[in-house]
Amino acid sequence: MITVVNLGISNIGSVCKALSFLNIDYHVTDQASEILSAQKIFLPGVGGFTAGVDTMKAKKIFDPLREMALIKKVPFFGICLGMQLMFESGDEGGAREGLGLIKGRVVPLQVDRSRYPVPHMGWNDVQFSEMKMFEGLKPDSCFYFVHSFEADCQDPEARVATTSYGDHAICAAVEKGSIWCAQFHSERSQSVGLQVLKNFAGVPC
Amino acid sequence: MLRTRVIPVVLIDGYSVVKTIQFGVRRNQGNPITVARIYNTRNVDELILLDIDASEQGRSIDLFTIEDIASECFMPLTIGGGLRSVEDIRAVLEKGADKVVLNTAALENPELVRESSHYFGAQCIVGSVDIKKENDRYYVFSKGQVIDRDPFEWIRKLQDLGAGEIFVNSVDLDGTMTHCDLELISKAVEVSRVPVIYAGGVASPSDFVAPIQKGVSAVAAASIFHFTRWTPDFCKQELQKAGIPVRL
Amino acid sequence: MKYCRKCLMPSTRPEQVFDAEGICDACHSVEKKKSIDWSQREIEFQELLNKYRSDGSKYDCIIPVSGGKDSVHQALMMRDQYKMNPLCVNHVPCEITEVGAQNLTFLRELGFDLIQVGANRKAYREMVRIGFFKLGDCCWPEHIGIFTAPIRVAVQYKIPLVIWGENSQFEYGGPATKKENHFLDRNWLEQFQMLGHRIEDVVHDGIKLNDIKTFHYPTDEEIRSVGVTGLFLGYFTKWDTNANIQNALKLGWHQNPEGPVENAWNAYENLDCKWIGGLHDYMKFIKYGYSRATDQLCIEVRHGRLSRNEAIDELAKSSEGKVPWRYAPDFMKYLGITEKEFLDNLDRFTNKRIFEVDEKNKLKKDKDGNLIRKFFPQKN
Repeated sequence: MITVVNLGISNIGSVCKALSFLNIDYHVTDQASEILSAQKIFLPGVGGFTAGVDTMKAKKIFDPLREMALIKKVPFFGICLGMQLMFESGDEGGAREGLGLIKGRVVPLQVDRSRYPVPHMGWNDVQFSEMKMFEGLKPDSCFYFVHSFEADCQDPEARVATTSYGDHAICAAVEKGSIWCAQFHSERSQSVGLQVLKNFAGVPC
Repeated sequence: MLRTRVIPVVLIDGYSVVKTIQFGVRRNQGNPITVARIYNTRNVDELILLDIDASEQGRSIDLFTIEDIASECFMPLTIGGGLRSVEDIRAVLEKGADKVVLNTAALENPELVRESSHYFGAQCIVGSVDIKKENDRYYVFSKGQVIDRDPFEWIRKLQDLGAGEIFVNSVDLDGTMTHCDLELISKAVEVSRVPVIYAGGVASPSDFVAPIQKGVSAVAAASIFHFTRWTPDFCKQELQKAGIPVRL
Repeated sequence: MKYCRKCLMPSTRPEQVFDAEGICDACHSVEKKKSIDWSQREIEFQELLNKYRSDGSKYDCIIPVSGGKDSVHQALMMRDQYKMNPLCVNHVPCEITEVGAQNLTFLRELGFDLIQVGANRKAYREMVRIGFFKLGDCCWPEHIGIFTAPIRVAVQYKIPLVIWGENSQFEYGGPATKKENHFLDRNWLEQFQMLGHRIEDVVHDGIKLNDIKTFHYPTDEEIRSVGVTGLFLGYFTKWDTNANIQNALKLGWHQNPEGPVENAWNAYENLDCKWIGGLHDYMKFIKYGYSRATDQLCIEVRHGRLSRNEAIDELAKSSEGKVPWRYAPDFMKYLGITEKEFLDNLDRFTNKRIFEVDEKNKLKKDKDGNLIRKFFPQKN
């Protein structure tokens, strides 16, 4: 059973539809008590970093999420904003501290904006190392991205995938033990994206 | 490398898929669920679904239709039609939309763009502008007529308000399957710092090339996919031949 | 959902057009037909045929046939009235019915040569699977094959003329540019028969294009080299379905011994394939809220054989809208699917805007498992 965290500002619908389609058991919650008893946590999200942190704090799930990831070490997967929230800090809409599960901060996309429109929106090929997350996928598979900020990951071993926009390499995914995150929208990346969700569902609890 | 998108547009009137010509005459193309599912099968880059009667009929796009489509389509789903409040937008996102198109509501209440962009992020908000040429000048077109507003100023303003993408529709070429309005495209790209999607008039796969070369991030189309032999794959192959990266 | 004020056709029908008075295109077509100068068209047709007619040593036209009432009419007309030398071409349906097989034999008894194009069952079945699960029409490959097979035979046998029956876009209503046409080409097929899918799309489902050759329309060059031209007989001569049926029956053609197929009103149509009468028509019902019985009753109304109110009573009594159980078990076996998969897929294609749903958007069913209509034509 996967516990899907509902921040209330996410495209929660598309994530749930993908899990249902794959016949993966899940339930949606924004309650601390349910998060604290989760076997596996999925944190999707779109929107701003600050709004995300503030929502987690208002819902009193910030510390429970940290506890589950760092102490209980349950498999934990963040997507897009969900990924960014797992870093130490960010300032989209005002400086905030994130969950701090991975070293690094969230910064505006470091591309030449006069040449490349931001958000980075659309399908891009991802170069990944052989990790559980990408099992069953062809090298350089395309995923759907849509974001204006990126994670500047300071843990080189955790950074398992990149994508390039212009000549800038963006951290596309992190896998460090039970902690996974992806900048791309796995739930919207057709069969390759569904495969990543299946891979997460297959991680033993 | 970022791939250029080819985006089918599906227009609905509440019950059925329709295709308009110059925003007027319509052809009924059947059941929205079937049409969306076909595009999912075709592995398209994104789908734009618009309820073109919602605004004028004072309702918003049907949530169950979105839910049914989102249940089986795992490509980005962009939804528009009668969305007038942050609550309306939240409801469609909960049903499975990834982005929302604001057109009429943005004209009537620009603050909605600011508010929703703040709340859901700029990447979620597509500012849509219908543009018609009259006496050699471009105008914003709304509710069946041109209005006294410069479309390029409006595109600029939509971005300032927080739209993360701009969707430009040529009213004159809609459904005509003749050619794209490259002048309109150049002018729209010039005032945009966010991705621009162009729609209106593509007749063949090779028509997708010039707009991209003029700087739009994606070309959207409907008639060519409803009425001709050309599939989205053919269009992307043509882009690839022109040296434009696509996802095949 | 609106209905035509003259007949029973709803606004959900693809390509449906209503005028400002709420009258559908097909009703207008019937009116327009009254003012057609048929003798002028007849002359036009004769002149065209003179260019193609052989001395009898060779076939000079192809008639696509299902074995139905219309194919009998087309074949007889071309041979007996226009003195042509037709070759009948049949695209073998997925699962032919007994009466369908009898009627093809009957055509040969009438003295016509017949070529049957039978697609390999392996790839055919996979196309039916796409049709059923992805497009919401189990007969998708059949809609294509009945058009591509005759054209392919035309190219191979170098027989340039293909005589189709009626132009459904004129008879049932369609876009202005296509309904006045008297010829059928590739684009006609793609616009009206393929549900928005294209043959090249099957590769996404793991079907190899080389395995479905009978479903490919010949290339433009092949068409040009033979000069293939497809004409609608219904454009050149007055088409009276009822007269065609009576004439065929008199000669020994078989109507359905079981009465109307499921979802139909009369016993004369869609008899050849186990899936087309029944399941195909039912899938149309769940998508658009009307089916074959409505189509047939509209024709009765337009030709003045039933009043609109009588037709509404007939529709209420018909099997339209009932799950087609007659061949459903055969179909499940054919695709190797369970009853649950079968029924779930039907639900997935049901347009929930036009049927009763509960507060959770789940379809309501009556005690027999049939959907509950939200809309039904009202008497004037």
